[in-house]
Amino acid sequence: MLYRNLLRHQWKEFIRNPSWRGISVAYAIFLVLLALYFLLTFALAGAFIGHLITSQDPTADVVRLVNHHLLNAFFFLFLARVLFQNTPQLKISPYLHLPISRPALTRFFSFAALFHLHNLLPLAFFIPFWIVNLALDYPASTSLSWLAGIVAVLGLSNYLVICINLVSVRRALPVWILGGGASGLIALDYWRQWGYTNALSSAVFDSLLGPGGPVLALALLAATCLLFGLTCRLLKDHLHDEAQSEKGSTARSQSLLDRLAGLGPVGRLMALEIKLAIRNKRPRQILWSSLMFVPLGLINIMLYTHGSSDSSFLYYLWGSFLTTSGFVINYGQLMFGWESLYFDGHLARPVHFRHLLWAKLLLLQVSCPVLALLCLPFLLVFASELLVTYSVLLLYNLGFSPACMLFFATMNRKRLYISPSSFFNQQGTSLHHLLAIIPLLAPPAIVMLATDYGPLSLAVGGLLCWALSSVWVRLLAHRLQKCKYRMAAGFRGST
Amino acid sequence: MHLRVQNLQKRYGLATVLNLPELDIDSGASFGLVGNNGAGKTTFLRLVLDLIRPSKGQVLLNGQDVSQDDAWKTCTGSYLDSNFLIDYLTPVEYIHFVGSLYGMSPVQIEEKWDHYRPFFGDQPLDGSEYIRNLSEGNKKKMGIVAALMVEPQLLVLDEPFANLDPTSQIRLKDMLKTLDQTTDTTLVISSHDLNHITEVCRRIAVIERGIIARDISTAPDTLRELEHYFAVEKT
Repeated sequence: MLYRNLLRHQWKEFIRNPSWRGISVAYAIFLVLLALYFLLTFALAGAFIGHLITSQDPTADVVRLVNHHLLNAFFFLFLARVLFQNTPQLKISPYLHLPISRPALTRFFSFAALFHLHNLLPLAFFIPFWIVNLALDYPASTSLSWLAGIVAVLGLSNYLVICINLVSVRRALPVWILGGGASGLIALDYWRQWGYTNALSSAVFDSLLGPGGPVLALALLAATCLLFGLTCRLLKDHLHDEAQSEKGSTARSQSLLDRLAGLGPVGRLMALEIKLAIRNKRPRQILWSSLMFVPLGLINIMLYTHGSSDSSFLYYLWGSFLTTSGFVINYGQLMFGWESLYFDGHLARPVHFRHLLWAKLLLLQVSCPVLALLCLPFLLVFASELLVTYSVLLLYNLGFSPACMLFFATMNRKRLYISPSSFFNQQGTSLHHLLAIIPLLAPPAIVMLATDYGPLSLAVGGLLCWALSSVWVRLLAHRLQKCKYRMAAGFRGST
Repeated sequence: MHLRVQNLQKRYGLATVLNLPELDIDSGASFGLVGNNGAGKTTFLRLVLDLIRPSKGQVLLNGQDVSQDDAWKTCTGSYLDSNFLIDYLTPVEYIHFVGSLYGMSPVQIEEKWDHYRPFFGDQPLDGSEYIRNLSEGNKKKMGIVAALMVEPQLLVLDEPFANLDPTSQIRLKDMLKTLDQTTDTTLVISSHDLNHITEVCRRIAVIERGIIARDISTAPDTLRELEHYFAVEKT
């Protein structure tokens, strides 16, 4: 009865989540289609990866090849979970004053954590893969052992992340040292091509296919159950930590920001924006995800170096955007919305729109070369021939993207709660946030592919846009003055 | 600062939530606004601060339309609700941020902070705790102090006594009375607390369904009159 009620509450919490309230119908439909697309992509990838591999190498053993790389895949998934997966304390806190046993609560919410998208999406890949490549070709006990092993590893990773996040609230340093050390070793293994991770991956997952497979699968499942028990226990001990971790966080010495604030009104507002970004969960995670876009962008750039055709040029373009404008796109599109909880305060006080816009524009502009600098060593080593065009695209992104994104940001009308996690949090976002990418990508694609003077025109255009920053600020301030009432009403949650 | 309202109307769809043909509040006056929930008090204050666009009419501060010019902001202190607080700043950071917007030097800000510090009682607020961690009462005090410290010519407060402990209510009442008696600051305060508002303000307007139903100068029997008015309203 208790668990049924809790389950019902979970469902209501999901469908009545404020994340859904702040989005338009068009955007909601788009999101549903996007979710279906992702699910379908994962399922199709799982079902047809075998065909893809054997079409390249007919002698390849699909299952063993996938097993060889599984540990790396689980490791990347694990890293993403550490950054974005929430611990369940906040869900439990409304029940704490009620006559419900705490162990029962922790058991329910620890179990419910299994049904997280981080677990469900991989299963959308693994189940079709299992049906096509294992269920038909291997004995039932072997194929079921492999599937049970995969489910167990997902469960282990799920509970390990919760345990790490629970412990790190109180003992952050040792957790970060251990995590950093493990990540460093795996990165070193990959970079020096030692192959230890892949060997370990094969050893574990191939063993699931051997005679000892069922025993290993049972052992992994038992380990998951043990970790489940440990999670319940830790959760019970840390029930009040989640509120504290956000609420109890305190300001550390920030002399650099104080110095920035001393530079005048624009510096002061820049310092305020930086504090906003680093002291609140959702914008902070956006910052992290902008950094995570960098390797993704580099992969796209690598795809271009292997292709060099018109279509692969789009990979390069996208890659250059991800590696220079990740912050502009991710963070910039929600600007003003980030301040929705105190926008009235800005309006009632002598905060000049021009200062506010300069602060935002400069912050976005600075982020482009900073992110590009992170990619520079990679480009120098692996794709030095792209340095010129990459610099051209950087100039374009520096001049055009921040101003363009700020223009779209003036369309924000929805209140944003900045404390909850950003993972699958669509609250405050609209279709225009996605459409905003088109005017950013279209001009360089057209100019570079359709004209002979592509790089030159793009560089000149970017520099010109950058030189005209003060004009954009003046125009945007005028626009802001016109739409401030509608923005404020939207941010207040009224009409 | 002289506040004048001309033919001010605010409509949402077909509903008129505020309709003030004329209202004059002289410089140095203390003007209290009372009324039941939804009467239009906060809407009026938002219109005064140019936070919402009037459907008709205008609010003039020293003869300047608030929607046409921002100069009035440098001599206005206000606190309506938590939408004025930047909750990820520490109290000291917030006070410095607001003070700097009004051109105050760090030394002046520190002096003001020391001056208003007793309003918070024994609470240790100088540390590194963020505003979002403060109690509701202390958050409200932060907003009020930020509005008072800039030495405004116009002070606009919405429900300043709500959520405050009894000691703080009395302290706030004394601070507002002192401000009223010793400076030329115009006070515009809305409140549900008839007791406090009649003690602080020399002029009280009762607002009801968007119109000013009564506009009275405070006298010894004003409290009883208002209590009678709202008691009758209730029945």
